Amino acid sequence: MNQETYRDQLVRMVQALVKPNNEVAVASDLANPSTVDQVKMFVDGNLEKRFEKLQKQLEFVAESFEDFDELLVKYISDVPSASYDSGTSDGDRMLQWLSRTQSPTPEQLDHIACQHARHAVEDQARRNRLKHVRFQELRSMNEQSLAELETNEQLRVYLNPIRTWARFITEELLDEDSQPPANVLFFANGNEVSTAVLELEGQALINELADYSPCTLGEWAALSQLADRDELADLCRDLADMGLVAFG
Amino acid sequence: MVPAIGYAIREQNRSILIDEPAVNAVEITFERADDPLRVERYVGDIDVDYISVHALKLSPGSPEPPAEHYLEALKAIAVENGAQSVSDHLGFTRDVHEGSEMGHFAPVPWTVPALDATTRNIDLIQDYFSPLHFYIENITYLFRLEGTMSEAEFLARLLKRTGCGWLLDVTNVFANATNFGFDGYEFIEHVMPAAPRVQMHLAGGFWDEKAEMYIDSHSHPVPDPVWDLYRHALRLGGDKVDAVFIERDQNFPDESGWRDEVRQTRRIAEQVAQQRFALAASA
Repeated sequence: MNQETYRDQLVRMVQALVKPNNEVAVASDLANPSTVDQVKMFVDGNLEKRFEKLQKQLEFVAESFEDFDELLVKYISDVPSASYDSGTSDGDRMLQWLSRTQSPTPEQLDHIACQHARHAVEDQARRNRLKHVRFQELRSMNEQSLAELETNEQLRVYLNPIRTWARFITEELLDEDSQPPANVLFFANGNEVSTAVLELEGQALINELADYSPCTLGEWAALSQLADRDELADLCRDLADMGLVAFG
Repeated sequence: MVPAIGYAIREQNRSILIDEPAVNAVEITFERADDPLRVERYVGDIDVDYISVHALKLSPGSPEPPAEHYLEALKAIAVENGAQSVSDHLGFTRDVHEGSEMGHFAPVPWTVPALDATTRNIDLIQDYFSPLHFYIENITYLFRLEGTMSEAEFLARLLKRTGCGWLLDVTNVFANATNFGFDGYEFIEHVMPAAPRVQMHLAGGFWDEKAEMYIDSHSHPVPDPVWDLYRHALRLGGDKVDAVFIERDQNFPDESGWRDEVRQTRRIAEQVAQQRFALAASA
């Protein structure tokens, strides 16, 4: 056996062991006295762990499907776990699979969009950990920074870098003050994910700040097409309270 | 010298790790620490002498090297938490990049091509993490693949070739020896001379009547035969043993259970160190 045949052996084995009921395909690789039943124990244990992880991770989406556990079994059987699957990648792939194969209702699509947005926030935090930690540190000083908001010309406004938008098309997940379709902002709030439904003007101001941040209140006011300095100061206070801006 | 001793961090034992005098080491399981929204460092208020990061997906037995992004993520957790070492398991979890993942490591076939591939990967891993030390763990397995050498020979050759540390999972040796009918003491005696440095894992599992196998489930107290094997390994390892970690993932004990087990781990290590000191003095 050389490196090429070793590689072929492992590819063949993994392909056989990532799905249920293929254990017999590795029978000729086993050393005496190992049995196919023992391989089946290994495979079943791995699939059970994957099932439990997905079940926990997608609990929120499961609420909107009557037969979610059956769908989980089908997904696990159809789609093998990918190399380095960790965090939310397997769950995200299942959301895509649900959208593609199950013809979800609009309400179910909202649950999927919501879960997907949460995953996107986590993914951003993973890829930008230093920015996430730095922003949350700045945010912990918001009370004292806000007191200087209109007097300290050097104070810069930072928009939470860990955020994403999702669009809800039904009332299912919206509060009674909001009407679909609605753009919902998902963002990191300490160790959690929070959401905010903003009116169109608020959404536009957030997008504006995303272009200028970090900037002083004076700089933002000079560039803004949407609001004056006093209105921006009020907005900053509201956004700071929500965990969307910090100062430094 | 007594090794650093402690637990693999679980939310259920965090309070013990902060104030238990018998604890001066912790192990971070990478997949648990890899919570992207966590603002504080994973070890939090735990203040110990020795920290190790334990990985699950380096897959050193795979034909291809680990992915850069996984190495980077591991290193980031190690640096952020002030770790001295990184470890992973002697096995494979995936086939190739962009391929499939089994979710748990399987044993490599104990063959020369597998040894060559694993050596190549461990060399790369050690280069990447230097100056942190890397330790390779002997795994417990439910089946074995056809090979051309024994597991002990494979592991000893791997340690000699790479110079990496051995994460001797004492319970895994006990489980494999029980399930596959070899002598766990001889296994450790064969491998220990090849290891330049050593960490140890202790855990408890259960006997599965149906499968007729000892299952290393990390769900029970460390059983007596594992304590005996641990004592033996400490005698053989001597000053090469850097740290010992107890792993528990299910059926968590109460506070006294957590404290008793780590105190027992330290008591045995101190007894063995005293015996070695007395022997050296008498010689």
